Amino acid sequence: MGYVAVKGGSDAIHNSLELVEFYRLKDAVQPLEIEQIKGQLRLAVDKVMGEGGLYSQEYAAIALKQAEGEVFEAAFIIRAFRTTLQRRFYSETINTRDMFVKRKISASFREIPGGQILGPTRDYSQRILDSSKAFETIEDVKKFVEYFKLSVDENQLQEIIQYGKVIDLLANEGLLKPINPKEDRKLVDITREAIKFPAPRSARLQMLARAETGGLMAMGYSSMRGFGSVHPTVGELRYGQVPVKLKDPSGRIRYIGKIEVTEAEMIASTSVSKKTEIPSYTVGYGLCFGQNDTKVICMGILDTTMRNPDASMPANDQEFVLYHTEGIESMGFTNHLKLPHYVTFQSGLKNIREAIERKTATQTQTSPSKAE
Amino acid sequence: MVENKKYVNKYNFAFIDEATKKEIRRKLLKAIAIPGYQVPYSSPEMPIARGWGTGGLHVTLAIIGADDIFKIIDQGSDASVNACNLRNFVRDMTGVKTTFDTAEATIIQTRHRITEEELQANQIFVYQVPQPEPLRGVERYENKTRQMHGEADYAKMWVSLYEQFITHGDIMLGAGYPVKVNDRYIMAPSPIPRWDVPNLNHSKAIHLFGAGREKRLYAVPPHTKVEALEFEDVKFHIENFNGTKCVKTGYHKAFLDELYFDDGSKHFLINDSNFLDKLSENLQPVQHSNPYLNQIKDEKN
Amino acid sequence: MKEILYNEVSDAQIHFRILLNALAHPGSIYDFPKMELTPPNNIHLASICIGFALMNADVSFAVQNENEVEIAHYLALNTGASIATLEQADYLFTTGNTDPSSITSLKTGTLSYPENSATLIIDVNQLSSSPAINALAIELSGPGIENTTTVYVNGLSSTLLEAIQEQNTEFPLGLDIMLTDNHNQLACIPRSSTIAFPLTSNRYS
Repeated sequence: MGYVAVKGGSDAIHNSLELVEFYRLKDAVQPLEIEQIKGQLRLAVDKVMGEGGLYSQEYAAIALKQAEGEVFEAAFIIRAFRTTLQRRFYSETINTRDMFVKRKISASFREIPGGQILGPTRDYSQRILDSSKAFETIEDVKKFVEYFKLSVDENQLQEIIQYGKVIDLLANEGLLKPINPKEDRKLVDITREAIKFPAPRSARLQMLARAETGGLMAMGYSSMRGFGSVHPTVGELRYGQVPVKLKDPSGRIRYIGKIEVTEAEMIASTSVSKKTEIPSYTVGYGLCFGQNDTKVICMGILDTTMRNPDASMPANDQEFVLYHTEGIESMGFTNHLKLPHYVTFQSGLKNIREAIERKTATQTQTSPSKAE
Repeated sequence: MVENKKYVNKYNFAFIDEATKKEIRRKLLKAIAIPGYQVPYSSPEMPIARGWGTGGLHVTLAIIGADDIFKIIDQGSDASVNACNLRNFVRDMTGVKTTFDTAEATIIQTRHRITEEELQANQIFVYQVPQPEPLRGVERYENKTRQMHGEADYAKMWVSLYEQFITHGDIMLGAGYPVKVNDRYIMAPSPIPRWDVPNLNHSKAIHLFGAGREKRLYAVPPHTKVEALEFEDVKFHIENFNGTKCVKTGYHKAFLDELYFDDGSKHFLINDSNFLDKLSENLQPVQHSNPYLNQIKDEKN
Repeated sequence: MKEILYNEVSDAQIHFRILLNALAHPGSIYDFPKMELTPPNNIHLASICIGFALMNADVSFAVQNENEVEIAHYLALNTGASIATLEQADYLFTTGNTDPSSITSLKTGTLSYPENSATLIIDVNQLSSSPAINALAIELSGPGIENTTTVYVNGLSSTLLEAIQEQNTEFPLGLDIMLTDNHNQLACIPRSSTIAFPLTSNRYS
């Protein structure tokens, strides 16, 4: 027989799952250890945590291994896993001024309190393929780690310093747009209710926080190139650890651990207050799990663009930005085109065939000399 | 091998946590009270991709109990790969009995078809919906379509249908033909073929719709007026299968799939796999009855 | 006061299916299963079951009842739902002879979000599908009903029903009601139903 409607579904699925597992393992010299993925693919793990919306390097590493390195698939696994977890508490608001800073830079000022700290970054490296990475041995690794530790002078270590923020300087001078309680303080939880438009700022930032980095990057870039209204300056970008605290049933605040986040405060074009006619800066905010400069910068850009009512620019359009940067939904729906659509197609086929019949009939009627 | 207790996955009955089930249940009751209106819901992620049936799953898993008998079809077929995957998931998470027999099932989840066999009063029909908003083609913004529904302002939709008629001589909508429910809300019945649309009208069963990705739930209670949009002089009609019949059973009054054999010849086969099986075994399933179907003349073989 | 014999997973599901059927078939009478619970005085077991099935920390409720303080506390303790004013309440637990003036305070939703409206759980004496003495005969038609159906309710004041009907004149805005009786039975009337019932003879108060 010719084309047969998809049958033997269970068997096909079973075989495809075995095949995919075979591809994953057939060349394995040694199974990857979760510690290796956590340690040496740190930034992929960070991305999966950020897009999965769950802070756990361990589970993100497992998901990456399970998905053979496909970040969309791994983030999807983490999102689905997150759904099964019971939410027991809400943490206290995290103040990133309490951050144990590993990296802190500002493009707006040459010198800032505490100085410009580059921290761990590849920003100023040359992207030259390093083939020596193919020959790393465990001895090389140990040697380097030893050498690095020795180069840190214990006597120079200070207690943890918390650094004030660049935007605090601007706020003190009265340069920042004042907080709008209705807009900036309305708290919704997008994991508990569907987003409604126009969306309050908390909803927009939550969606951005777990949006797909590439999607955000495309939208942020578009704004800078003229398809949006914003080409901002990095007021401050930070990466480091922040403490997580919560209130226990007796009302005491308890420290439960720390997480790594990257944060950006993008200072954007002046806006003039309608009431006072005094111009000010607006701050576009970005925050995500782990180390991901690109994501928080683009979050900050889009936080600002989406406040512009001129929705003719895609980056200003809340619905456009938020719906289409949602990685799990975009991946699912674009890929769903692979599902059988033959009934839908059949229905459309009938319409087109009948329309063609009608058109050719009228054309034959009106110009019989042209008909073959 | 040492059992690694740390990673043992224990799942709640029907996978979804109880708080989310309650939320879905509350929203389904509101949906029943306002037929055809789309209720927003949290739509948590599932281990199934968005666009592949998460909405239908949310509804099924929120309502299903240990005594239910579950059937799931995709484009009319129980054996289709995606239906198999979802069936396995539901079964693994609930332990319920599953079936291919339409008459035996108490909950039927579907992607893009209503069964040919008539649904009964004790059955719940759950639709997987890709795009719940029937006005999305004429208005891209959610806050505007919500307002249009609230004010029953459907002018843009009617203009669009009129424009199709002017351009092509007929309304060109195929699957997912928009309907008006209870004389109030225009609703997207999911991409079922026009053939199935009349079977929503005054059905005996409860019809629940889940759009996971778009995060909307809606419902049509039994015995509810559901009419396809049409003009007085440009009427709704179902697909025309005149001159064709099922190559296996000879039956022509069901929605037929078009197939191409290896030799290039074209044939037709009843799309609803359980209905096809029953006719093939000379069983007498009770088919949905509606004015459009009843107009099709009985052919002699 | 905290019930331990209620199964959050299976009982809630079974009771929800009864509610779904009842709301999808307005005016039809359904039985709730017997439960080993000890609710406070003056509220039906079926009403408690409805509360347990639908409420949790994400919703709010109010109680208008002679024993409202104890009932409210019991429901809050067992469901985690918060006690709210009539204006904010998602659910109102009350009786068939309650003061109709409170009805106008309840949420009826907005045109864009008609689901943001209250559901009333009303304790009456007896629900019946056949005529009964002193029973209010309510004829219903609309979604879920083939032609028409009539439910006979003893213990529901017609002025209360009128007040609710008044709130339901601008569909889709409105209130949905669930009636429970002394025999653990349930009947529902969603806002989509058209109802007709004899008015009280004295309407001048």
